[in-house]
Amino acid sequence: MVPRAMNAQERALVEKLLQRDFQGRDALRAQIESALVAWTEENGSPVMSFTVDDKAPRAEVELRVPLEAEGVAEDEDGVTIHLLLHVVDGFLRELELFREDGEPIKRMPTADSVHPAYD
Amino acid sequence: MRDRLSSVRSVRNETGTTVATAGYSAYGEEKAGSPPIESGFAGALGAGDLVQFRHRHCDPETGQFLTEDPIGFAGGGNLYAYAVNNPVSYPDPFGLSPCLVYPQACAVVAVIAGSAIGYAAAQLFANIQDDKPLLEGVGAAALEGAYVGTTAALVAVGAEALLGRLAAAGVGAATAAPAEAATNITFGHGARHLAGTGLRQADVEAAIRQQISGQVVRASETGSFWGRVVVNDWTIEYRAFTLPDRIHVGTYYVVRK
Repeated sequence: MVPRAMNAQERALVEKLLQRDFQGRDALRAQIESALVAWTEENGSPVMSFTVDDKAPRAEVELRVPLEAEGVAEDEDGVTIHLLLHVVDGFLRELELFREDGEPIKRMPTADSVHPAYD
Repeated sequence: MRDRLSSVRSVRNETGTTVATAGYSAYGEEKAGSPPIESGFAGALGAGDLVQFRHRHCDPETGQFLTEDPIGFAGGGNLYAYAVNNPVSYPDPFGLSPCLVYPQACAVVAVIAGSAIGYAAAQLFANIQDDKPLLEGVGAAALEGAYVGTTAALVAVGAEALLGRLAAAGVGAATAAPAEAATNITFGHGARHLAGTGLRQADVEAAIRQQISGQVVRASETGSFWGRVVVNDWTIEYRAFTLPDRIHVGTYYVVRK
């Protein structure tokens, strides 16, 4: 897959995960501006991989998956989908989505349907 | 509303309006709040200059307990450290040893253990009353207590809602005994997150499997939980979910890179 610019839905989804403040959040938001994405799939679980301009500000996050950016949504059959934003070496690496039961995702979550995983 | 460490961050009334909020330092010092929320930090019983946990008091300024760990070195190498000096990751509501899994699991284990001890004690008392051998039926009573305690704990931590959501989704009610579920562990993905570490997928998954089978089994009915294992000096974090017939590890990854 050739990396391409994010469309509006993809951007809204990532921005939703970066709504809460945490160390490095603002730098990650800035990285979105130059980020290219490519989708792959592993056993029905989609992965959005990022390619970020290395001139973009580096995010000083504490953990690879910032807990404040972790989201959940419901699939069409009610099973929870988890969304984990991975940050490697200070840059957006991937958005990982998977169902709790390991089955393929039936309906991709939208920004409106995503809630923080930890209140 | 509680955060990941079970600290109370806000209180809402019956109409959903927030009536109080709270903020804390990593070691429990209240940073903000309007009005202040008592006993809100990471499962503590009370707050003030000192944070009162079940068995000890902690000074939030130094991040140290005032007294030695009652369970000795079983709670870690430093007898005075709160949450192995990592309070952001490991709450220590009992002042005994930090919770190495999702904080709610601690509550579940505590309730289950407490219930088991209570039932066993009741059987001991009955044996004395009935002039029976002292230990007769005590083991079975403890098991029964653990079963009752599990149900109570699920309600207490809100795990029932999660299990209910799974049931509604057609996955089926989570009726599997935890021990059975813990012997059947499946993995989603995560291997790609090991790139550049030199770690083998088989080694990492074996370590996670061992931890779940050995330590998390009693708390597995919390629904979802996370844990950490160390393999060749790399700390791997995982997300796991209790299903009717198994525990599914959705993903795992190196914590810091």
